[in-house]
Formats: sequence, C-alpha cells, structure tokens
Amino acid sequence: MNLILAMVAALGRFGLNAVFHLGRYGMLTSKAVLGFFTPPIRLRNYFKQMETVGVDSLFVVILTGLFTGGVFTLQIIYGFSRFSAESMVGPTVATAMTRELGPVLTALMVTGRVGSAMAAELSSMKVSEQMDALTVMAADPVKYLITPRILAGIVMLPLLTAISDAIGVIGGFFVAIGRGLDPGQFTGRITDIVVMGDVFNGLIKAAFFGFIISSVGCYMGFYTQGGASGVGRSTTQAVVISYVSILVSDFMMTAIMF
Amino acid sequence: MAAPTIEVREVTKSFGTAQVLKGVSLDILAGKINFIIGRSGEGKSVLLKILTGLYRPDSGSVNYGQLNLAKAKTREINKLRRRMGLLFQEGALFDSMTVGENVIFPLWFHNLAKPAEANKKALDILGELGMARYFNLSVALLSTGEKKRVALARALIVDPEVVFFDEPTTGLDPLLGSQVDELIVHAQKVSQATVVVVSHDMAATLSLADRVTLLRLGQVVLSGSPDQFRKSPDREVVNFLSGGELA
Ligand SMILES: Nc1ncnc2c1ncn2[C@@H]1O[C@H](COP(=O)(O)OP(=O)(O)OP(=O)(O)O)[C@@H](O)[C@H]1O
Ligand SMILES: [Mg+2]
Repeated sequence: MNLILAMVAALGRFGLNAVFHLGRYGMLTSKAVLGFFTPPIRLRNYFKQMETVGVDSLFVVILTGLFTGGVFTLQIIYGFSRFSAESMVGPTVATAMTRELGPVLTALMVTGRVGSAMAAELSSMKVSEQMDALTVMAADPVKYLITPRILAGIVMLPLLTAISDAIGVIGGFFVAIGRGLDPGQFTGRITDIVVMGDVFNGLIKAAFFGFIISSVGCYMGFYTQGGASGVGRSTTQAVVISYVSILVSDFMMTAIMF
Repeated sequence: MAAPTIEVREVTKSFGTAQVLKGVSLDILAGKINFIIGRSGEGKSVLLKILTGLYRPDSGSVNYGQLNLAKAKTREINKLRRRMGLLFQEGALFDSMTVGENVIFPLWFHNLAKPAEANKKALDILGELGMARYFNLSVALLSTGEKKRVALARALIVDPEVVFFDEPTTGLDPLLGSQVDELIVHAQKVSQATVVVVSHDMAATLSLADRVTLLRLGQVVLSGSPDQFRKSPDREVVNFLSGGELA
C-alpha cells in the first residue's frame, strides 16, 4: 500500500516538474521569438551565431553524411542485388537520406557540437553574473543571447541537412561503384522516384530540429544554478533532452507528413 | 536631468530560509558619494542588486523619485538603467570578448556613439586605469585586478548618473587602489553622479564618503557622515572602525 502511494507521489512529482519546465520553456522561447521583432537588432550577433552553428559544424556534418550514405548503400546493395533490383539502390539511398537520415543524423551531430556548447556557454555566463551584467546595461539577455541562437538553429540546420543529403548520396554512389554497379544504374532512376516533396519535408524537419537544439540548449543554460557543477549538469541534460525530443518529434512529423 | 535620491524603505530579502536583509532603510544621497560597509556575507552585494533592480525585494520599497523598483515594470527600470552603471564584485566581464569590446558594449548596444568615438572613449578610460595596451586582448587572459579595472571602465563609459561599485579596490595593490578611488571621485565630480560604493577599506570610506551606512545582521546599524561614525559610541561601529574588519 505504502509502495503504491509512494509511486503515485513520485509520478505526481514528475508530472508537476514536467509541467513546470514545459511552462517555463514555453515562456522563454516565446520571449526569444518575440525578440526577432523588437529593436535594437544587432546583426553582428546573428551572423556570429550562424557561423557557429553552420560553418563550424560543416566538417562533422559532411563526414557523417558521407559515411551514412556509404554504409547504407553497402547494406542495401547486398539485399537488392539478390532481387536484381540494382537500379533501385540509388533512389533508395536518396530517399532515405533526404527524408530521414540527413535531417536526423545532422541534428544529432549538431546537438552534440552546438546544443551542448550553447548550454555550457549560457550557463557559465549565468553563474559568472554576465547575464546580470547584460540586464543592468538594459540589454535583455533573452533577446541578446537566445534570439540569435534560435534563429541560427532554424536557418542553418536545413542548410547543413541539404549538404548532408547531397554528400550522403555521393558517398553511396562511390560505394555502389566500388561494388560493381554502373554509375548510370545508380543515378538513373533517382529523379524519377525521389520527388521534391521528400527533400522539402526533410528540410522542414531539419528546421524544427534546429529550433529544438538551440531552444533546449539555451533553456538549460539560462536556468542553470550552482557554479561549475551546474554548468556540467545543464550541458549533459541539454544533449539528452534534445536527442530524445528530436527522435520523438521526428516520428510524429514523419507520421504526419509522409 | 539631476541624479535622484534613492530612498530604500524596509527592504527584506530571503534566499530559501536564510533572511539576508531584514528591513533595511536608508537614503542614498543624490550627487554624493555613499559608502556601504559591513562584514562579509552581510548582504551588501545583495543590496546593490536590489538597488539596480536585479533582485526584487520580498517586501519594502526602493524609490528613485516616483519609480519604485520593487513594483516597476522591466521597461521602466530599463529606462533608468541606461543612465546607470554597476561594477560587479567579480567583474562579470563577457569572457568571450576582448577588453575593448567589453568596455564599448553599452555604447555599442544602445547605439550611443559612433564606433570611432566609442573606441576613443574606451581607450581614454582604460588609459586612466593603465589598461589601454590590453585593448585587443581577450579578458579571459587578464588577472583579477586587471579584470576589475576593465569592469570599472565598462561601468563608467556611459557617464552614468547613478553608479554602483561593489568593492572597486579589493584585489588591487594599494597604489592602484588609490588611483581607482581618485577615478571614482573624479567621475562623481564630472557628471555630478550619485555614487554608491561597497567597501572593506575603512580609510577610504572615512576620507571619501559623504554618507556611510553600516549593515549588520541584515539591518542598518548607522547611516551618517564619516564624522558621525568617528564619534559614534555604538559598540558595533567602534568595533568595526577599529579594525575588527580586515579583508
Ligand atoms: N542568489 C543567491 N542565492 C542564494 N543565496 C544568496 C544569493 N545571493 C546572495 N546570497 C546569500 O546572501 C548572503 C549575503 O551575500 P552578499 O553577497 O550580499 O554578501 P556581501 O555582504 O556582499 O559579502 P562580501 O563582503 O563577502 O562580498 C550570503 O550568505 C549569500 O550566500
Ligand atoms: Mg559582496
């Protein structure tokens, strides 16, 4: 009996906690989004964040795309050739990359690189009173720090994903040729089968993932407490929460879109 | 616009179960140098954060003329903040930026000066503090005392009408300390600013202050002129001045 009560209590606490965080997260992100529309707009700030999210992640994203496309091709070539369906290898790789692998793996990589860094940077600014310094200089920390990061996430993730899609297909192409397919056999039917909608929906997903990565990273950083150990904690939590949110929302968006 | 008198009335502030301020009342004299002293952990920094609107008091009021910071909207407080400066005890410099970018920040953010003008102004202030040659250096590389001076420059660059210094000379050598004291006095004279200094330096307190306030156990023990402090028979005050307090 006591055990059941304890479980109910724990569940209740969990629920309350979840509602509290969701509410606070919602308020923070809406404030940040409103920041797009209120002056002063400091462009330098926006460009710097786009550089950090986009340009600095390029290398890992290319590498991930290349190997994902490659290994995926390796796996399916084996199965497809048993049915003499070699001409379907290229289209399958392209579909998988644009719809699923490109957006999700790019988002996961960028979370590890950028989402964690945002949480770490903001939380260390928080604990060293740099946020208070902004506030005292009448520079709203939400608008100054979070708004540009969220915008950078939303804009740069689709760009990175598009690159990853392309690189993945190229990786697949070389693997296919290595395994004895004709170049024409690989590319021939891609454009018949992969439609613009596949690419486009993948990029919409990516934009949403970008929003998740920056907003969760910023949220965890912004509400950090308790010195250097707090910084470490928020960083880890930002990554875990983003991963889970990306995978769950990917499922839901896929169910709705395709 | 003349600098306002700040009336602090019955301010309380707790963190969790610890009540740090238990009904603090004092007047910050307009256009004068006000010192706040007290032992470590008595809530001096908390009081400065309440005076700048960073913390809201649990009860009581902080009045800048008509504006009560305890109740005011952020937008209203922000108007006030544009003519405010605060030197944080730990500096609170933006460690991803250079010395120059830090000092210029308030001018840059609010578009208060052209870049060339802002640079020149920053170099002037940094020069007075012996920090001009570090202009392009990342603040992460500076020593504690150097950081403090950069933070001081950042607080002063907007020619604030109200300016708060949380232990401006702690961590500086005596020579630099007196230079900083001079700078504070100078800044006050030039713009007739209201100055609030939290200090552990009794000599500086008694020689520079127009008004001194001693905090003890979350309340004001005495608020008055340095002379009143020297002559006070209150045991707390006597103990404090006679060097029960060191760092
Ligand atoms: N954000 C906060 N959360 C919890 N407790 C706090 C917070 N800020 C201050 N305190 C507590 O309030 C008390 C007073 O702190 P404060 O920094 O104002 O002391 P101080 O008088 O400035 O001391 P010092 O001379 O050492 O700087 C301390 O016990 C501190 O732990
Ligand atoms: Mg202090």
